[in-house]
Order: sequence, then structure tokens, then C-alpha cells
Amino acid sequence: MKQRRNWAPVVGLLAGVGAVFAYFAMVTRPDAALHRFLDVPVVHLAVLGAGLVLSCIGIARSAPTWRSRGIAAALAVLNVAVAGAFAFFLFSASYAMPAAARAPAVGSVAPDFALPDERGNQVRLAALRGKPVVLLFYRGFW
Amino acid sequence: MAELQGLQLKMNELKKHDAAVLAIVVDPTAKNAEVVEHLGLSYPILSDPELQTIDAYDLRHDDGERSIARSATFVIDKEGVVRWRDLTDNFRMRPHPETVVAAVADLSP
Repeated sequence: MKQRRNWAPVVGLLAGVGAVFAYFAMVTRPDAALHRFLDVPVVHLAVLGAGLVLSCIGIARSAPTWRSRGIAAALAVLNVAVAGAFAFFLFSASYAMPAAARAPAVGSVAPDFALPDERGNQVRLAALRGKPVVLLFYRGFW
Repeated sequence: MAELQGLQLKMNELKKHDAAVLAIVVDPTAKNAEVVEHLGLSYPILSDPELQTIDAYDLRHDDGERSIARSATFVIDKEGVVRWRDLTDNFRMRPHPETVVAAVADLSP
């Protein structure tokens, strides 16, 4: 009987790596609509989960030889490592932020500043008195 | 940086409240000119490469070899008083634009 190719371990790993790659490709885009759905990236996590299931199926279906079992298991371990690193980034590492304990509190006067806009013109916060101001600090495109 | 486009999409509503928007970043002026053009922003991006203002607001984030601003949004009233802020505890998460617009709307009952 001809041995059928066991694709599950490979497809499983590709799903895992693909999901993580797709997340970072999307999160670096400036589209606001996309980001709303990346706060908790359920679709990416679902694909990642399906990939892990395939990794398990791959081990179960592998031929009972050291070589076949070993390859399936190694690919599964790699997939678990990718999933683990991604989950750590999403749910732990991204909380590592400085305290900002002295950031202006609600009810305090916003510190004045004068900084150049994109054309080099100085913009002073105090010059906008009389209007509400939305002040947005962001991480940048470095 | 998706928060830039997010606020731009709400500019009509923010204009109804006569609100101004200012973005602040460590990036140089030339980079900010590219971003304003690319995203079609109708509000300015201010350059703070020395982190003077970022430090005044205690938002410095030493991230690897570079110091940047942590993401933060403030709504300041006509008298210059902070009336709402979001400092986010996760660098992946930002306030949604409609939340910011609601905070501005709350200034004028």
C-alpha cells in the first residue's frame, strides 16, 4: 500500500506562522478601520488555533517510524513556540509601559509648549485658548 | 499611527465643536510632512525630537535604543484645562476615535 503524504504538520505550521505574519503586516498599516479589529485579533488567533489542531492531527497521522513521528513532532513544537511567543506579545509584553505618573491629570492645566509643525511653523498650545483641543501623542514611524 | 487616520475621519464632527487637533511625535518635520500628505491630514503633526514636551507630559517611553512618546490622548477645554485623557496601559491599544469625539462633545453640554 502506498504511504499517503502527511501534510497536516506542514499546513499547521504554515497557518501559525501565516497568522502571526498577517497580524504584523496589518498592525503596521495606518488604516483606522483595520485596527479596531486588531485590539483582540480573534481571526488571527482562530487561524493560529486551527494550525495547532492540525499539528496534533499531524502527529496522530504520522507513520509509526522515528523519522515520520519526529518530523511531525518537531513541526508541532515549532508551531507551539510561535503561538506562545505571539500570545506573550499580545497579552503580556504589550503591557510593559512606563508609569507616566506625572502626566497631566484631569482638572489640571495642560503644560504649554511651542513646537514646529510639518511645515516648520511654530504652534503654541496657549494660542488655541478659546477652542477645545485634542492632543494626540503617538509612537511614530521610526 | 492608525490613530492619526482615525481622528481625521472624525474631523467633521470635531469641527462642529470648534475643536483643534494637534499630534505630537519624536519624528523629524520632514517625516511628518510625508505623513500629513500620505494620510491627507487636515491637522498638524508637531515634531518633538528632543522630547521636551513629551517629558513635560511625562510620556517618555525608552523603547530599545530609541526614546519615543507613549501613546496618549488628552482633551483640553477652552481654558486650557485637561478634561479627559487616555494613557492606555497597552501599547497596542488606543482609544477609539468616537470615544475621543464623545469626550470633546461632553465639554459643551
